[in-house]
Amino acid sequence: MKGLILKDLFNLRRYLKTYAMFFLIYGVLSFMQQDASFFSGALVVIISLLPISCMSLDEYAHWDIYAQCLPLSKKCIVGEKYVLAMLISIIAGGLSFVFQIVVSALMGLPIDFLTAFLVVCACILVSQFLNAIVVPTVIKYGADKARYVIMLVALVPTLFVLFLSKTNIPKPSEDVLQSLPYIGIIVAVAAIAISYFVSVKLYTQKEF
Amino acid sequence: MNYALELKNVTKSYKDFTLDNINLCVPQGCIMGFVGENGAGKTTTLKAILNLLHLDSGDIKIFGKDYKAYEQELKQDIGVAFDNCNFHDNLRLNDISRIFAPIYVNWDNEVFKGFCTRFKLPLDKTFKEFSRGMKMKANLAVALSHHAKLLLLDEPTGGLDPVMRDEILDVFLDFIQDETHSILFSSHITGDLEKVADYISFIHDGKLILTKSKDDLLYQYGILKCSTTQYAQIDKSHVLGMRKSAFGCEVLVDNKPELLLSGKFTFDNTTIDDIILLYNKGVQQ
Repeated sequence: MKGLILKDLFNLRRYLKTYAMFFLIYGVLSFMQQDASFFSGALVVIISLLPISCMSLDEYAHWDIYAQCLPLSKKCIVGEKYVLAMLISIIAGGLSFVFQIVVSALMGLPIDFLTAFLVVCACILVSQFLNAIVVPTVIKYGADKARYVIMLVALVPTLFVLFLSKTNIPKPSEDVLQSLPYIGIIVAVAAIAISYFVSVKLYTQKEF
Repeated sequence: MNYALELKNVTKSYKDFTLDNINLCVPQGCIMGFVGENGAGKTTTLKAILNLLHLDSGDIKIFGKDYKAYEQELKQDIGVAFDNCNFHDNLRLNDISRIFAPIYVNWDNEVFKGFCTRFKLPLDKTFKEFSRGMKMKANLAVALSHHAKLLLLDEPTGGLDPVMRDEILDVFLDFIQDETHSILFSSHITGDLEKVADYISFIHDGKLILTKSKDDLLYQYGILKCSTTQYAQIDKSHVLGMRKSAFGCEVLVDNKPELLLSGKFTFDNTTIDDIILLYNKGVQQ
């Protein structure tokens, strides 16, 4: 698995400049908005979707057929995408945490480590949930078709919030709000576990 | 005889093509050339061996072991090169050695760098800067750098100039100096196979037509040019292909020595290409 992760990280070198640019632009926007948490959260989600780019590059290079010839199990090949997603999320989360602290300090705002940490954790959970949907979709339909699914998935939370605002559903109680992080962790872990098993099954059924 | 590879009744059906009951054995210490026209089933057979397909039926053994039960263990000993490059455009050969070192137990960085130098491949350039020939050579360098015992090569010399092709063929000959090493290599360039192959397998329309030692093939098979009257005298059970022309017939037979002994027929020099071409045409009525 280490070799596969290295392969993907080497492939992602080409995006380094792009993402450095993202940090710069979002830094400026955060200054203008006087709030770093929103943009740092967006950064985590954007960066965490990099494994999809890796799968797209694999497809372009016909890497999968070659990977099948290597002494690696199908579980290992599939599992690597999840490990990579988690690794990148954690790195992105770390960078984002530092980003929030630095931007807040430069703006002269009070530094709230706990909020920064919770924002990063929430974004990591969201990105893991997205990856859990995207990875099996890419395996089944290929990266090009999967982009449409990703767009749909991204629309769902927006539509959900819109739906809630249009209906008269009462706001959840304080207890429910406090248990949201735990619910989020359980949902994300369950989504990843189910997604992994589905992905392995799809990959095993695939012919190259 | 010990076999590196044994295929028994391997069958795989698609909507418009069937790999039909393939039986093929590659002895250890040999190079087997795998020939056939485009779409004959060469790549499908190689994919079947590598467990890239779900077979309808049949058994495959590599070094005497079931190819599925011992898949990862066996793949440590197999080097693979396809006719296109499977490495990403923005990777470098320096990256490749770092990627494969943890994947192959026997990855040998010194051997890899040696092949890169021998094939004149720059370690610090990205694959997108490589020509097709350089990409092929990079594929082969990887396939040869983890002390594999069996090489499965799909058109490995395609896209290479004659000088480089010759050098690659020398590498293959060096490789099989170890009697436990074997190569199964598909190619359209039958001239390359004539230089290095010990055995030739010919696949046509998903069916394995023949597997023979190259020497036997070139000794027993021949194309004779004769009149229609002479053609009538030939035992048709030995006729594998016949083409009529304004000057008579070209006939592919599998009993050249017998016909030569009769003194009635003369044969031109026959190449594997000639044999395959006439075989594909069949017997023209």
